[in-house]
Amino acid sequence: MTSSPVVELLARGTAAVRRSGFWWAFGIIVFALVNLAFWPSFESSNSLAELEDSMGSLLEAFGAQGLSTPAGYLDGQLFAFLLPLLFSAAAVAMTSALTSGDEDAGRLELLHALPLSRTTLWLARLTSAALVLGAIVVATAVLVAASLAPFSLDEAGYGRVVFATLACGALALFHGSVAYALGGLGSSRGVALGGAIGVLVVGYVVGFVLPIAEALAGARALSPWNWALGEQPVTDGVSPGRLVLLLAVTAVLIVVGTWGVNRRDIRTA
Amino acid sequence: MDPVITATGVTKHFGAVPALDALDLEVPGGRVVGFLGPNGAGKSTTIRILLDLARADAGEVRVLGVDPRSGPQVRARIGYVAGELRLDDRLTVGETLRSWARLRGGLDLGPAHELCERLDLDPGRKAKGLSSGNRRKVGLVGAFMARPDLLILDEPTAGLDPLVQAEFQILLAEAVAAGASVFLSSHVLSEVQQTADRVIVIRAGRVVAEGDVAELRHAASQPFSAWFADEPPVDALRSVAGVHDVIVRGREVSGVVDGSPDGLVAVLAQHRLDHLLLPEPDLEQAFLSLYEEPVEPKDAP
Repeated sequence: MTSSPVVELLARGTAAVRRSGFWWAFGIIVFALVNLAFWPSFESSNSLAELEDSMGSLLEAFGAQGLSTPAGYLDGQLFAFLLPLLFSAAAVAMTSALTSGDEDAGRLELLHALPLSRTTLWLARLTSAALVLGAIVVATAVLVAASLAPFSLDEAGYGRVVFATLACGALALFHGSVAYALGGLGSSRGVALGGAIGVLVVGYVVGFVLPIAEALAGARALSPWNWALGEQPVTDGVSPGRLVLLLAVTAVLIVVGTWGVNRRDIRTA
Repeated sequence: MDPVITATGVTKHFGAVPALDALDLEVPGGRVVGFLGPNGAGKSTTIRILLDLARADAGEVRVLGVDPRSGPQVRARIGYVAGELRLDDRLTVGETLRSWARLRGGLDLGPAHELCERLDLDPGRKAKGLSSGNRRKVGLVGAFMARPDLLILDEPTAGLDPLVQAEFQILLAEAVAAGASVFLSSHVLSEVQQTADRVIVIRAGRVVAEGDVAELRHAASQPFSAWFADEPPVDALRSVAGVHDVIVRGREVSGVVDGSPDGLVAVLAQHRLDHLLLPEPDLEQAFLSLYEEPVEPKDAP
């Protein structure tokens, strides 16, 4: 039995979201593998090339150029939209549940009355959500990478696929940190959840939809989606420089949330 | 003994609504001090500020000699029973107590087991589905198992059956004998007068009265009604020191006695009685009439 308060906080925090984390992982992995399984039949027909010819700009809005190549298919079907969206939704749901959600329910009051600093308690809660998110991301990366060869997608490159999955995880951590910052500043779970999902959607629009208009192409540089994934993370590779920018902004959000919770009253249920 | 809690000019607003209005408070060490007031008087806000769950807008607070905002260390010396205890419903009572022990840096669980037995609390039960009384017991075990220097208890006996309330009184006495101080908040006078030896009354965010319970009990007015088997000794009763407002209805005599009822009882003992009513004195009324403000009728327009 360990007696470290921080280890206990992490154990309780991860236990609280373990079950929902398992179902998020199950759904995401099944979704990813089903998409990979369609590639052999798409590859043998010309339907994807025809789709690209007819709907080029719409596909660009979904980061799905070059669909007829393994890397382009993976980008379009997984990494440019749906995988980062699902990872981020999981991160926001778990983070807000452990922070503002538990504060709304009055479950943090007794913990705050123990000899634990607010910083320790809230960072442990965020870390718990991040650990479960990390497990979801790693499990997805391993299973997707292991499925590349069976579905004839290994030409895309194992390293690029794994890094693209991890970059999606970094984007999810960023959106979880938005929920953390809003909760730390005193928002209810509803506001934290809605605010973080709003940032997720606006980020996508700024990163992929606005740049379809040439005059707004520069907007892409403002999107966290672009910082994490660029336009096509498997085809082009993930940019370490932009990823560092994403992680730096994430760190700022964590500092803001921690600063906020240290400067306000803890809510009663 | 030095005071364990002091508050000077503590003010707190929630938006435009004042919760504490320049509250001054001093809780002496080594005693059980009741913190009495109606719902909404500011008791919970005061406790939340003492535990650094809420921050005062102005004023100075010291708990065990330090500012509660200065860090979490002081809370290692405090045991707290929340008015509304929210537990992790997935855990059993035993797992909950083990978790709290770890969060306190690895407490010995021996006292927790002993307390569970004394309060008739099954550690194997899931927190989900516990009655409010059993949840209260979990809170009490969690507060007492740390053997703290200061116990801050918010309505600690609400929902407890009389046997457990009696055991709680013993626990309090043992804690005080071991050197602990107790700050017990309640809106129920009977809860405070059973346990506390000093009472602080708060209304509308400020302390309106404080004093020793024994002193109050001694000075309090006490109504009485006596049904005599024969002709009532009205003149003898009226002549007893402290007896007033005597009303005679046939063989029934009722009135009020201030302070000790000893003289009244001596007169009554000389006559045959069919029935006697001598209820507990209203300490709250006594408190306020003795010290400061009269009690306003709650339904007054």
